[in-house]
Amino acid sequence: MTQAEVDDTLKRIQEHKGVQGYLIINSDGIPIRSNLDASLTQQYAALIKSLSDKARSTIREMDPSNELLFFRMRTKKHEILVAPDDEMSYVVKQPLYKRFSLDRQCPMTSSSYHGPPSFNYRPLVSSSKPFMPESPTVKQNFYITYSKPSTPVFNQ
Amino acid sequence: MTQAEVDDTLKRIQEHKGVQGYLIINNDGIPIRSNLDASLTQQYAALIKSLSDKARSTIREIDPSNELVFFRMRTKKHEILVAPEKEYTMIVLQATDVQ
Repeated sequence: MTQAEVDDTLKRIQEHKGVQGYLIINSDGIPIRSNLDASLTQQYAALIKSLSDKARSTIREMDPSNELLFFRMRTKKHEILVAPDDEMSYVVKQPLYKRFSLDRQCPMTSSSYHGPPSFNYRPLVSSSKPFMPESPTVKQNFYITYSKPSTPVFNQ
Repeated sequence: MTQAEVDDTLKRIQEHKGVQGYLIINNDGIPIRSNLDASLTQQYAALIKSLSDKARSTIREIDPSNELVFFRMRTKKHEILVAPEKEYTMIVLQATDVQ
């Protein structure tokens, strides 16, 4: 995936109805990309990374040939989706589907954390695995239809 | 909920397309009901309970007024759904290739 494709994918996720924020962490738990503020980013990076590692090792303990692909945590206030990968993890925070609102609940800040100064610009997403922003069991179809109104909009 | 309602609910879950097994554990991690074999039950009870506790405390740390309601883990072979509650935790295993 090129950098442009990564950016497009992230943009698409960000504009998805209800997404409050996303976060990409590398395997050391350092956030690479995020659209949350710095303290929340750090907090999520540390806590979710350690939970994600425990989840992966739990799955491996139960069956060494199995592998954790995705997990989602539903809380009272929102839903956290985590996609661990070998190189990095993707964390998306979104409100519960019942409480959709067209305005995003958390205004996005313009800061996008790009990592420490020595961060080398390289493809952020490993090409070996497809990027899964949603759990595949949730089938979401978006139908966008453009149609002329059946009655004239203006009286002319 | 009466015992009959509990049994009906469990039966309904079990007969759901794709469900491979279920497990109910109490707060001490002891399995109360299960339709998996004994060793698998024990393994799941111990491991998933500790993971579930860690997940709950992670959510509490991020926001003390928030609370974990449900979580699901998707693996290559199946999907594990965990519903932690105050007194019990319900764990269901289901296949991933069923609509």
